[in-house]
Amino acid sequence: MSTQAVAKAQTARRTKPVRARRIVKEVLFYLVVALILTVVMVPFLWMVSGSFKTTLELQSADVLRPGHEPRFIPREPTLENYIRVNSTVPMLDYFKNSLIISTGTMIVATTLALLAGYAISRFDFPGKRPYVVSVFSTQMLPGILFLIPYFVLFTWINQNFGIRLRDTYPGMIFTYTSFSLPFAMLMLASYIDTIPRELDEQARIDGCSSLGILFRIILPLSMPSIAAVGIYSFIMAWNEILFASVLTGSNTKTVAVGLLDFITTQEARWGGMMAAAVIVSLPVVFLFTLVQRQIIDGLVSGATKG
Amino acid sequence: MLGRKSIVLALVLVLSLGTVTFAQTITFWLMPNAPDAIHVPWLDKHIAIFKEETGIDVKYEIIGWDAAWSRISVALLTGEGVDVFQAGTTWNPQFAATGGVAEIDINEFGGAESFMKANLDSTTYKGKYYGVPWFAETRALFYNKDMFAEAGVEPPNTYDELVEVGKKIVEVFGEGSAIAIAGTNAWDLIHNWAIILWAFGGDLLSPDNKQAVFNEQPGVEAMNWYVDLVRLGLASKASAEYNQPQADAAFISGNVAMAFMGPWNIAGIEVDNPDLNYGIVEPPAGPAGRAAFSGGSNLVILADSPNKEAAKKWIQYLLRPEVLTDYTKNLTHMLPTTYEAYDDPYYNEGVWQTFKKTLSYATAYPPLGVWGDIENAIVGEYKQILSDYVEGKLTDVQRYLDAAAGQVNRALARER
Amino acid sequence: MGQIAPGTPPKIVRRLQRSRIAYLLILPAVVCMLLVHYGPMIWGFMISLRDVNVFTVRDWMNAPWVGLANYAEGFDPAGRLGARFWRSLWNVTYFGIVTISLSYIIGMAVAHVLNRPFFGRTLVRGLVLLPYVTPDSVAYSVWRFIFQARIGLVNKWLLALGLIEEPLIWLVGSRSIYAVMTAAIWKGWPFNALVLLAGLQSIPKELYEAAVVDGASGWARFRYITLPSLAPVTRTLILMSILWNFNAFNQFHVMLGRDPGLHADVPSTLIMREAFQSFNFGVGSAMSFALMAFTLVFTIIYLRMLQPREDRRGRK
Repeated sequence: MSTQAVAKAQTARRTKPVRARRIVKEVLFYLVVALILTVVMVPFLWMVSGSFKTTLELQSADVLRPGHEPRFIPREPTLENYIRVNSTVPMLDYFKNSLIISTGTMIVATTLALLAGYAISRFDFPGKRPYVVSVFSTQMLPGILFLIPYFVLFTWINQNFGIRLRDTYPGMIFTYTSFSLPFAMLMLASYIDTIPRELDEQARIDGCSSLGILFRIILPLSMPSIAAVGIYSFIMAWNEILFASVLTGSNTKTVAVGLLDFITTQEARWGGMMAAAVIVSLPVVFLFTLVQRQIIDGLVSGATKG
Repeated sequence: MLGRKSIVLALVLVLSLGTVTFAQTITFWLMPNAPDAIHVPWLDKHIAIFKEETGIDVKYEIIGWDAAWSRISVALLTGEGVDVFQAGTTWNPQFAATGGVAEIDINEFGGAESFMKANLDSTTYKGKYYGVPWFAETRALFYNKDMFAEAGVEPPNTYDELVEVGKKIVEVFGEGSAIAIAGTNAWDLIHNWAIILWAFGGDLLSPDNKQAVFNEQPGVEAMNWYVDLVRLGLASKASAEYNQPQADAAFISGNVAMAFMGPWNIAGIEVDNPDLNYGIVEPPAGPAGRAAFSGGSNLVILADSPNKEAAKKWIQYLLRPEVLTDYTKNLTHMLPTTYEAYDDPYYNEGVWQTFKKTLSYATAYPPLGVWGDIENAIVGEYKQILSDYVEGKLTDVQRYLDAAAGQVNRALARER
Repeated sequence: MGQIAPGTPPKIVRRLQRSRIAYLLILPAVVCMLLVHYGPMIWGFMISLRDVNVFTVRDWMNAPWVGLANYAEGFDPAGRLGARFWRSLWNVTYFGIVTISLSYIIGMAVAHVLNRPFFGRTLVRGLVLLPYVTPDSVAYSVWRFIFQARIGLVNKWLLALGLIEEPLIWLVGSRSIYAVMTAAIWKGWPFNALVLLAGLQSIPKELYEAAVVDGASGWARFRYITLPSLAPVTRTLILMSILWNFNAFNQFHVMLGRDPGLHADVPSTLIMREAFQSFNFGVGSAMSFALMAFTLVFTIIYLRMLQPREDRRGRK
């Protein structure tokens, strides 16, 4: 109360310069926001602009020839690239595949990571240190090395257990879950570390079991990190190329691999690829804009303030 | 032994089940040889006809070239995933060397005499056949007739003439306007140099394939000739960073007067710049005459495939003259690999005559298991040459070629 | 020990019992990783001790045993492969130091901006994710176009500003690594911002309010509240960035091709060519494990560097 009063008194004394300074600050702030957006958007706008250009215009531009400089506004705008997106490459099917695989990965990976992250953060079990080190060590080898043994493994599972994993949604979700787990669990563990342990102990005194603590205390408090880790898993599955190009087939081909179909070794349909990229990027951005408002703004501020 | 056993097994399977209700299915991988919009209907139609005739269903998948390499490699090494697939001619021997590819009795596909020699050579490994040639491609010299007329020059017959012609074009149209060449980002950089190397009288390896010889005098001259294109301003300095489609686009857009391109580019010109007034001539001659690179694709059967007989039938179907000609002529704008297909009068006209003639003396690379190493070594040093030239640090190309030769010789020592 | 009442089981057994729930919690993750990571790692290690090449790879179990010869080849600075490998280690280290630190700094700055309520924040937060959600293949293709000498934006703007006389060749030679760095930072910082933003929101507002009362400056609040609070998250974030960095592949492959050239070759592209293009899996695996050892050393150095600071904080 007293501090507020002091502040009020101060404002009363120096209203004018403070307001002016605040306006300058505000303007500067929005300039910074604009700068951030520009940096983000320039390559993306370049991509959007490319999607409306003819292949000829894209590739015959020249910074040194007046009248041919590359520019954002297409010289002969065309919708051809968008019209042909689905006829050249069945992008909409790939989009569906990617959506299913990425969402599945997000859910499974985040769940497993939360369980493991909680264990790592809150329990001092024998073998914890070697376990964490081994989780790290899996991230130190280039993915390319895993490709062949991984394929052998899928074949082996198919032959011995009759579970088909290659070119199926569960197989791809399993793959990507494993890929995103190391980072996801360690990230969550370090986030849970920042949640005061007193809260756990309080709950335990109130008669909560370990799982109860996880779901009643840790889960709601970890929402920002769960959102970040969820997005990470989603995007990892959305963007992965190397394994997707080998393990997916006609049933499960993903967008990231499908986009590469626009570049064959013989011609490069840049315009088409840009158009496809725009089409597949926008829904994802839209989705996250929606989701994060709910997750981050809603749940978290409610949980922390409540 | 094992091969025969599995053939018998497959036969038994086919005999016991095939005739009743069992519909056999084979998996076929191919690359985007034509735009999907026309490629897919063509495949669907012919698979239906094939199924009608044989009862065998073909499940196909069109895979981009980059992904195709890794998927085929994995299939070869694990022995499953596909029955029959398309492989680039330069890939075939390396695949065969792994033992993951089924040996082929070429007589079942019309005999060795019915195929163009260079393409047939690309299917061999240690004198045996491991694939069947499907379609061929070769690069010829495309030139812009309007630009040539304005500069008052004629298409060059020799590499020396090409430089002279190029200088005149540059006088009229400015630096970098004479020829479009690919640079460090091109996956097929080696093909561009090989044809010059051969025309200058050199070769990649000694006749017994035991030693690298591309670092001898003709190799140095050929490399200098290529670098000179940039040094003399005939090609843009920026082409050092081009990949092949970018180089092609420079020509197709009408900004550059010459380019070495293949038959598939004709379709590209029709789509992107139908007004381009261009002609095609054979690649120029060097001191040792003309030379061309024979590329294309072969059809290959997986060694561990349980459906080898069905796969063979599918290959036989695809090679039927009417099917093959339709596929190459109307769909992919590639060239057929069987002599018979060239009876079609279509190949005696216009640009196709040029390609047909060029293909008649085109050469394939030596069929070696360690080809991957060889290509990596040569392309690596090649890129270093271009990179150092751009930075003004290029002194003597001999040094780079010697380094590449050393690596190639080490790889050759491992060849079995 | 003496304090334990008679009848209690030994400490280790008690610990194991108490940890049962912990083991159950990590079990699903362990199974997943066992199949996908640990199994293949063992396979890779076995391969690295044998002469597995194009001729032997299909029957790799019977490939000739060569001991550490593959490692020797990969590490011999006088040999072609060894020289290239050392160079690629240097390239990727340099690349990593620049991209990780800049991505983190930019990410931190943007996270602060986005943590403040302002008009259109939700939209901006969504848009900021754009570089991150754009598939690598597309993003780096676009950047390749932006850096092209004659048709690219970079040279267009540099020429317009009068900073250069003639177009620079960005994607060939010694400049190429900077082009890739720029693209990688553009792609990398939004993720840093996302994670740090999540971290910022976990810091109790009361801490800042108390600091304001104490008259702490903005910098002091950042230095003594924000940074320490973000320390655990930062540690994991940077650590993972380091690990991923050493395996960087897509950005180099897409922007510079299969062989990025001496100045920008990184271990992954080198291993890819050696193992997958030439089928020299033995040497490829050996280089992979050598890379792993290198990464490990680097990681330990990083953790050591953090150690004293944490001790200091612990003592306070």
